[in-house]
Amino acid sequence: MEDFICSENNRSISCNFPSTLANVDRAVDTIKDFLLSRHVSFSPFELVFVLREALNNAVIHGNEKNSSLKVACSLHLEHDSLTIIVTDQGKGFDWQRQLLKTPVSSSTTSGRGLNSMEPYGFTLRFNAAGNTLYLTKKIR
Amino acid sequence: MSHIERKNGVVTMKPGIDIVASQCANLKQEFLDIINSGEKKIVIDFSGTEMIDSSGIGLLISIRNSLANNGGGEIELLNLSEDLKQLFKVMKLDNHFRIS
Repeated sequence: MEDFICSENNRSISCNFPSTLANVDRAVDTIKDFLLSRHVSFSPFELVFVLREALNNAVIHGNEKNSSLKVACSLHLEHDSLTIIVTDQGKGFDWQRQLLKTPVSSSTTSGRGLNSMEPYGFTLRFNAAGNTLYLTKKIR
Repeated sequence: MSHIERKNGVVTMKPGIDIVASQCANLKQEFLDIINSGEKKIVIDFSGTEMIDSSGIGLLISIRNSLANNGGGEIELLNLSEDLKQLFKVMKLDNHFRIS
């Protein structure tokens, strides 16, 4: 697909792509392969789930599926942690309010993504505008 | 296209793919076709499904809601990996679906 760009070095990988859900799948697969090739001690399921939620949010809510807008994603390996940074080109949102919301009921069909990351050991932080998400997790 | 089998009043649907945002539109139509044909019990076979995301979970909840609004029904989730079972616990949905 056009304009899907990823680059990597020994300890990090960066991807930049138009806001489509197909590109989310591609970015997740690319970053998962990067981690597996670096023999990082982590649960692929947990990482893939959280990464996918972060990218879905950027595409669906941040850029509102506007494929002329881009999502930038990078993953950085440190000695004992990994950091994921996801940026969209949307206007951002009131992330503090969102994180304080009461968990959605069992019959509600949306609103679970952001609150499902911390139970997997990820620490969440946003920039002031709410269009860049920083996720950090201990890996050893 | 999911593999769909009907037997003794039970529809078993096996997507065979990850139930994630990029697939939800197609999967939703398949589910609605099943519900609109009057089926009341749907088994979703997760063999071949390694991942579900919050969009996919939202889809399952919307199907459960549709069955309830159409006079009742039941969804059973079959052959989930341990990771997927744990995800339903994390989402606090393990008591809202029959998981086996």
